[in-house]
This record gives sequence, structure tokens and C-alpha cells, in this order.
Amino acid sequence: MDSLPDKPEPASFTREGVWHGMKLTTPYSLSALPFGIAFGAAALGTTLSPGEAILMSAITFAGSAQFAVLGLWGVPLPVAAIVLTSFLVNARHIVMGAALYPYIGNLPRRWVFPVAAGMTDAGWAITLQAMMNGRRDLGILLGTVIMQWPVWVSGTALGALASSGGLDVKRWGLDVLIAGVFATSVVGLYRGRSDILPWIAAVAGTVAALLWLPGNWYILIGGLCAGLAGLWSSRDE
Amino acid sequence: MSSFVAFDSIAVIAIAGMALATLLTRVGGFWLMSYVTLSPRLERFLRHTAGGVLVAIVVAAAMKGDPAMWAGLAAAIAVMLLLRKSMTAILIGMALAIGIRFLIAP
Repeated sequence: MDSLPDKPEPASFTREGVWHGMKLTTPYSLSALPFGIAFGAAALGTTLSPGEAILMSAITFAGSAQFAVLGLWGVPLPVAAIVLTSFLVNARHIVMGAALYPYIGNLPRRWVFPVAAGMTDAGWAITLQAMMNGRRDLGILLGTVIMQWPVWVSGTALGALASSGGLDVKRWGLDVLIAGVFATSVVGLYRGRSDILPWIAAVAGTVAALLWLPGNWYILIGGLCAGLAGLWSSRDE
Repeated sequence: MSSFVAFDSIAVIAIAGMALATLLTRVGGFWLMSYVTLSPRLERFLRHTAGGVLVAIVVAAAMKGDPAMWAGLAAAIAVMLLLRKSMTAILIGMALAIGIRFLIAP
């Protein structure tokens, strides 16, 4: 099993780790800029002011949730629906954090929690991959945050301030860019034949949820289907 | 066009609520796991669940997407399999999608 190292070597939190995480995040960092710009431009299509859009990017720092609530942003503002939607879209982070925990569980919470507060999908995928390869260093996760947060916030500012109309997300292929980030992450996470059945289960669960359930349930359901299939397929190990 | 410094109090409350909800999800997984003993089975379950979440996001993008999205995703995955360079793969997929969309509706 290559998921957890055999040696119970304690995890660390080093400057080298931060630097390594920053280097690994460079390509994703570049991809965050057009998305930040797209978000800033799209936000101005609602009643959000540029200042509010930038504030949202700065303290929420969650692209998919931010794009999701733009559809709800109107007068009067449905505050409860906006907060609940953010939670549901981001609920996947609970599972992601839990998956990272075994690698850094020996580190104190006062280090882990503040760093985890900036965890993105890409940052998580990069960190998990590095840790699966034996580099158990919280600095990697911090490096992903350092490379993404300023880009996301300044991209939002650029989009909000420079765009009077809206940016055509499809014309510029930005939707393909974000999907591509996740698709290449999946390829990078492939660890062998034991992944095939869980991924098939994830596809089936996601398709069913998208067809028959509203909202973003497909994210949780796809994940849970893969988790259960993973247990079932490796029950004899 | 709203002024840059315009901050509506209800909007700020909603944004703060979003930030808090997101913070809970990001820290929640680490927090929960510090109370639960992690068996190899649970670890395997979580690892596959996390992979499934990524798969779900890709599948949803494909299902909601147009043929240009399908071609772009297929190209990105193929290049990633061949070269193992994620940004190259993503940019090639993106360029293909832009090209296809331009050909359909220039």
C-alpha cells in the first residue's frame, strides 16, 4: 500500500517545504489569474460592488463556491441560501482535510488550522500527491496558498475594475481550463488497478446525482460512491 | 456601476457567512480526524472518497459541457498521460476548445 508510509516518521513544517509547495503550484497559480479576472468581471454583472467582490475573494478564497453564489446574488439578498450553498459546494473540503490528516496528524493544531484555512482543490491535490510520495511537510500546503491567494485576489480586482461588460468565459475556454485542472489531478492521483472500480463508481454516482438531484449533491455522492467501492474492492487485502 | 468603496451591510454579512462556512469545511476534516482513530480501512475509504470528489467535478463539467469541452478534456487527459505535465496538458485542452468554439461561431 503506497498511501501511508511504513516508517512512522513524524511530519514536519519547514521552509524547504513551503518553497517546494510554491514551485509545484506555479502552473496552477497561472491558471488562477484568468479565473480571478473572470470572477471579478462576472461579479460586476450582479449587485456586487468591486470592493465587495474583492472582499469575497480575499476572505472566502473559494472559486467554485464564489461562482455558485453569483447566481443567487440579487435583491433582496438570500443570505441563508448563500451561506448554505457555500457550505455544500465546499463540503468536499471536509473529506479532503480528513484524507490529508494522517500525513500530518502529529503536528499541533495551531499550525495545521491556519494553513488549512487556505486549502484549495488544487492545493490539496498537490499536497496529497507530494505526501503520498513521502514528503510529509505542512509547508507544502502553505506554499500552495502563498502561490494562489494573491493571484486570486488580484485577478478578482483586475476583472472587477477593468471590465465594464462581462468576460465571455466560454469564448476564452476558461471553463475548460478549470475542468482541466481537475482532470489532470485525477490522472496524477492514479495509483494502480485498485483505483479503477472506485472511479467507475464515482462516475456512476455523479451521473445519477446530476440527473436526479438538484444543486451540488453530485460532489458528495460521487466521492462517497468511490469511497464505498474502494472499501469493497479491497476487502480481501 | 456601483462605486468601488460601496459596501452594503447585508452583502458584507453574507460574504462573512460564506467565509465562515468555507473555513468550517477546510478545518473541519482535520478537526474531526483528531478525534477518530484512523484504521487502514477508514484511510482507504477516505482516500478513494477524495479521488471520487475530483472525478465527480470532471464528470459534471463534461456533462454540463459542449463538444468543445469534451474535446478539450480528452486532449488534456491524453497529454497528461503522455507527458505528465499538467499545465501543458491544460493549455492544450483549452486551446483546442477555444479553436473549436471559434470555428463553430466565429
